[in-house]
Amino acid sequence: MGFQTQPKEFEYVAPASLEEASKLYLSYGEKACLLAGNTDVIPLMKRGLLAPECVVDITKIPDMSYIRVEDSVLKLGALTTIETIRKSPLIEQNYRALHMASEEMGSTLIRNIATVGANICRASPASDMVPPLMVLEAKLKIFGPKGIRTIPLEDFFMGFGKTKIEVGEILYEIEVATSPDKQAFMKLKRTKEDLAKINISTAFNFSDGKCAGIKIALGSVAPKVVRAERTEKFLEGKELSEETVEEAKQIIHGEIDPIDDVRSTADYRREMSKVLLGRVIKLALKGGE
Amino acid sequence: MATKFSTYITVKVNGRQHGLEVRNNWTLLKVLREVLGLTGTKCGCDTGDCGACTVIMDGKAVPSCLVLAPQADRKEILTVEGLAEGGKLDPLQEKFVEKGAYQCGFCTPGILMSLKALLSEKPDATQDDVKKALDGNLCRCGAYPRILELFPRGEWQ
Repeated sequence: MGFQTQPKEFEYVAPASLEEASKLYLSYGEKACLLAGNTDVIPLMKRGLLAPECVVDITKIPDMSYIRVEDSVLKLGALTTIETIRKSPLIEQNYRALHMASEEMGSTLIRNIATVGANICRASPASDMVPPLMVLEAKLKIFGPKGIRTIPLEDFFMGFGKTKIEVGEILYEIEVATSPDKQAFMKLKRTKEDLAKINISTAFNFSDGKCAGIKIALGSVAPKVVRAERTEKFLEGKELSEETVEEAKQIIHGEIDPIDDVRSTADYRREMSKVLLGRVIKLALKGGE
Repeated sequence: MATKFSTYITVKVNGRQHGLEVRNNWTLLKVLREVLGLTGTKCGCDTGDCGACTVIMDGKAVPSCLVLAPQADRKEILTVEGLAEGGKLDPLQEKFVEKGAYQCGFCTPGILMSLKALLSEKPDATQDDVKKALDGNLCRCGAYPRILELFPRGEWQ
């Protein structure tokens, strides 16, 4: 990689509305690339791994960055930066898993421009935003030539870097309708800024000493972020004692499909999925402190 | 010169308005250094991980190697050259000089910009705030302790 490497030449458009952006994207088709957070797309373009003929910059579309709650439903604009999410008291108090993930992602510089929508659409299994949003049962609102559609986040990914987004479509909002009492996120990484060797998030309600509606998601352990459904089923309604969680650990490592790569080995990831399950549940029970 | 691979932008840099024709595949970093001659901002990793290219764009510290040149249209940029006013150093720069909070100086412009952005938002920033604000600025010479000492201690120290 060189000093100030340059991507291949491309046309650049910065539409002022979702409608305009969708039309432009549709007209260029597969030759276009949407640009939002920049932090992954630009390095890929510099390395020649992405060479669009046209870049459709959606960052100039107004009203795409917001954090609000309407009728108990959290609505996040797709262009909300990770740093904005990190600094939001509303998210810190009621959507703690998401807050904790925003604290662990990249650096201040990266968080200042990276967006939650782009992080999701990049469909990296190492995403820090996806596991907490997945355990919070997020729904994605997508604008396209055929109108608006809603896709549950857990159904959105088709594989590494692949989503159900079709040409001409743009993610514009993320909705979270639940706010469970116990939530947490943990990430194992080499340095402060690094991508996850493995990350994990959980959310559940807790009453009478038993958990209800428990959800668990892990990243960097398969081509897509994984919902540990068998582990969830096992823990559902139970007391989350040391013994129960020990048993759950024996299930979770069988639900993932990790590989050896520059950041870690499959063996280590399998081992850590067990360790992190125990730790993230403890952390959630303590209120995510 | 206007081709389909270039864009005309107007951008304010250190208080001065510029009208520029930029290639779409250039970064803001390249425009600052090679078009405007503001070589204070450095290129380290070129991938947004080292912070040497940090500038303040519309009030936020950003890695200029990750911002495409056409995206700078109608933005306000502050680079390290813009910190001093009328030949007088910014108080932050004065403190750096006084305490020798640098060694080779390569990371220093980026660090100054990250700190300037922090102080603009939180004038009473503590060492804890500084650690967070500088989490994307790498200093291989290890000047961090002297940088931290410029700030009041935080809760956890």
